[in-house]
Amino acid sequence: MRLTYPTALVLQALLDGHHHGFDVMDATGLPSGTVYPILRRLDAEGCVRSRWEKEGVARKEQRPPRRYYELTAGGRHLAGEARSKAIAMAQAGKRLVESEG
Amino acid sequence: MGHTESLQRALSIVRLASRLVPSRLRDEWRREWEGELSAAAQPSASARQAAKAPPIVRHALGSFVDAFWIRQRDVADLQTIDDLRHGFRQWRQQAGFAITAIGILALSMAASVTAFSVVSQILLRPLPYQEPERIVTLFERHAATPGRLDVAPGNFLDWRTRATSFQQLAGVDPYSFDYTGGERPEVLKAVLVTEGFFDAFGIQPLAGRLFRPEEHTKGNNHVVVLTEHFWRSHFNGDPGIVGKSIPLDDGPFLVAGVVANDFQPHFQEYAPGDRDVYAAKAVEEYEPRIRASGYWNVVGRLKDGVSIEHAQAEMDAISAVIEQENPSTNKSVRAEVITLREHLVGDVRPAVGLFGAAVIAVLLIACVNVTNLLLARGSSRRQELAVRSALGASRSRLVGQLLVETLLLASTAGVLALALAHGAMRGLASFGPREVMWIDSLHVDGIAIAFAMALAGAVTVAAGLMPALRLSGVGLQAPGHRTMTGDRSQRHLRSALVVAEVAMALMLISGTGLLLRSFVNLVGVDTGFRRDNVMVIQMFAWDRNTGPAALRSYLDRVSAKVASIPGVQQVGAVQAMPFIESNIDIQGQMRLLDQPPPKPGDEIRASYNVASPSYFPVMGTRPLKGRLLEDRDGPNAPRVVVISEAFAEKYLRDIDPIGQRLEIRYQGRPAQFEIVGVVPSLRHERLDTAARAEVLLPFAQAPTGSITLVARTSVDPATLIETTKREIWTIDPMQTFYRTATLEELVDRTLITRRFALIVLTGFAALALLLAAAGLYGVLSTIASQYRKEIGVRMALGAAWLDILQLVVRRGLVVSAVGVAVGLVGVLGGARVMRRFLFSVTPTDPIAIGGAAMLMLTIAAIACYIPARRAAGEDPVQALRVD
Repeated sequence: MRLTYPTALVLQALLDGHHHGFDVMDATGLPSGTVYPILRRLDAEGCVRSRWEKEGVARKEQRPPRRYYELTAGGRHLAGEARSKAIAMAQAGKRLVESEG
Repeated sequence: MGHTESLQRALSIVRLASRLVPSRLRDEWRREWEGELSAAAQPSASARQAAKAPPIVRHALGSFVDAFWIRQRDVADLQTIDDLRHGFRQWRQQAGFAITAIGILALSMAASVTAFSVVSQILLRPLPYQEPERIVTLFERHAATPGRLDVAPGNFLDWRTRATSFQQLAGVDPYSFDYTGGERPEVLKAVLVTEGFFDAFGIQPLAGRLFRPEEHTKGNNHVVVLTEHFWRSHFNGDPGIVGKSIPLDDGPFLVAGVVANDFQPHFQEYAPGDRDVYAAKAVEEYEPRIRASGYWNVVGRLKDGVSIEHAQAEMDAISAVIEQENPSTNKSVRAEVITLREHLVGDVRPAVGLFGAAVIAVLLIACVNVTNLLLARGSSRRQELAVRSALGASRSRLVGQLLVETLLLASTAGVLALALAHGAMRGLASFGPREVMWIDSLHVDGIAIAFAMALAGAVTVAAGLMPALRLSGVGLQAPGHRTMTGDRSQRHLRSALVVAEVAMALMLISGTGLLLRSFVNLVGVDTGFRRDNVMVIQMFAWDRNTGPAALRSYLDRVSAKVASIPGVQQVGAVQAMPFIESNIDIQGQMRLLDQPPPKPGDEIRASYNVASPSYFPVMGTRPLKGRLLEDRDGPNAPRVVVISEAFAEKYLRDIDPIGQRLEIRYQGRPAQFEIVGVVPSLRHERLDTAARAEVLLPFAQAPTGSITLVARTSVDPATLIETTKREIWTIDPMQTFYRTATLEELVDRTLITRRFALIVLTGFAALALLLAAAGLYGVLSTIASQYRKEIGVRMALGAAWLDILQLVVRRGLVVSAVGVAVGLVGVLGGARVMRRFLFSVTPTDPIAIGGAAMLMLTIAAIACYIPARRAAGEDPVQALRVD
């Protein structure tokens, strides 16, 4: 699948243990209109799977249950790929900055 | 803004966005967003989150993007299903629209499916023979008489000897047998066939064998082949009958075999399949000399590689030689070669063409109407479409959605149409003209179903594409707002569609009017006789009454017996009975002895007939000149005849016929008769064929065994037929009856096809008229409502009720008048096609066409009046309040 910068951010957030859509938004700073479509796409590609949190937990906090996402093996692989790409890009960016400086 | 308040707002945004999510995913989608938003709005959320988080309302707005994204993804595979669901929802909301559109389409599609099935199951039906394209039939054509004529045996025998184009050439001689093997003596419908008849078709028998060559010789020809239906009805399909004999006429006939029901060559039948047996024909000694009277059919198989054109050219040359050899009988007589298919269904083709045109017109009108309905409904859906397009639905997506909605309508209509077509075909099979081959086997088959499906697709594109393209073009700039130019162009478009509708409807109504006028003319034709309350009984009395005296005595006894039946007023007899199916036209050469001899080729060739004196009063015939045949014209009295008016006009123009002496070659030798009277010409075959030039001899002077009894009755003649048969059986228990009917029935039978055509076309025309009126009404209603403001202003400024009425009606009438004008051009263009269906009416008959135009305009005026009145009756204040 296409690895855009926001997708890489979302994958990293999931890898870092942010499981809910809004938490991912908080962690990445991306708006909901960006995060959710990415989650849907990752879901459709089999990179994440989603589950609903236990009714009991939600009831204790007096709110509806939330959905949470976690990476599958494929998703973790993709996240790794995203990470190495990001590192490569960061290094390339660093060289660019240095050569201009 | 408090937590609760912003949560509520966020939740309502999500609810709104959820409308975009396909319904099967919607609940879960909403629950997810509600879960997140509620969690985010919790006061217990960490201080960091509370401080950093943008208002949850902003988060909630993102749900639109999410929802739309899901929808877009989903549509890839579920778009159509969703559109269908949407379509159904649309229907539920606008049931009136859906029912109207489906009804219109179903009716017109049913007509199309039926017409298509007639073509596929009758005109294009595969013939069950070997290489059927090589099978041909031959007829005679005479310069003086239009149409194909049956063949004289003498001509056939010459053709068979001389022609080289045919592998087989066989003659079919009409015949009937008296079958005495059953409970009651009965007449079998038969033909005698010469050698090679079955070979020409290349068929195999169902049981037993077909005829052997030696069986076509005198003395060996008491052999028959049964038809399957006779075999099943009389012998329970017992194969054991093959090789046995059955009693026919005066002797036993060997049953050689049985042919299957699908062998329907359609020779010498009144209706397809009306055949009991085929018998082997041995040519009689006298038959080669019969050239003037044609009553045989001829079938042949072309030799391999010989084209029908080649065969025709050869037959033309042979006909010319025969004409030279027999100038008196064969003047301008030609042989015509046609394919078997042409013989079987050629007559139906023009009618199918006419109906096909009518069906297409009705279908087009229906499509135009549905287009109009869709356009009209489109105005009320602009808002929805604008929102969809604003949310990112592409134009093709909207067109797709609108087309799927139309497809839903068309498919439902298609299913209904198949049911209706099933009914129509059952009706055709039972009540349609029986002369049409295979009409009784019409049914909805796989091809018809496939056609209906294809038709639904075609209708979808024809009716739905234009509205879809137009409606999908609405942009965001005008959500729910009408633009004047858009309205105007749409109005023009819809007006153009109505013009087309009116034009097509007018063509159909004119065509129907012409057929109606023809029918009225035809029914009003003076047949020369009174057709009410006459019983007709055709029988052959040769077998047990040999010689003139016996025949005279038999007729006298039978007549007296029948006359004694209560309800019978008078009984007569005739040889060639008008309008009876097996009405053989016996022509003879005649000579007027008191006139100068005619030029060669102009000799008198007229029909001769034999009648008893009371035949005339029973038929209601009065003499135009001289007297009728009377009882005093007995066997020993001077020989006399009466002639028909047509004979007098043709051969005795400007001469008083009474007292003229006529020499007729009668029973092989010339005899002299004196003309004592002229009677009105009696039509014999059909109302639309010319009356015969006929000479009528007194039965007593020319007794015959071919007798048709006619009886004038004081009660319904149909109720007396069985009694009459029983009474005649008291005189001769072996007597069979070839045909029994009422005279009314016989005449009516010849009108079946025309009446049927008239009914069908009237149905189409009525439908077209209704649809055109509905289309006009719809457009004017829209125009009137779009003009409400203008009307309001006008009325506020003092316009009278009548002015407004006129304003709207005028618009409608202008549109209709343009339609009528266009339609008239079409009517004149189609005149040539219509001509062959008409009788005593020109295809440009001003009464029929003018009447049609008046009717169309009247209906149009009514259709305009209703919306106009509504507009004019409105309160100006209300009208001005319109947005």
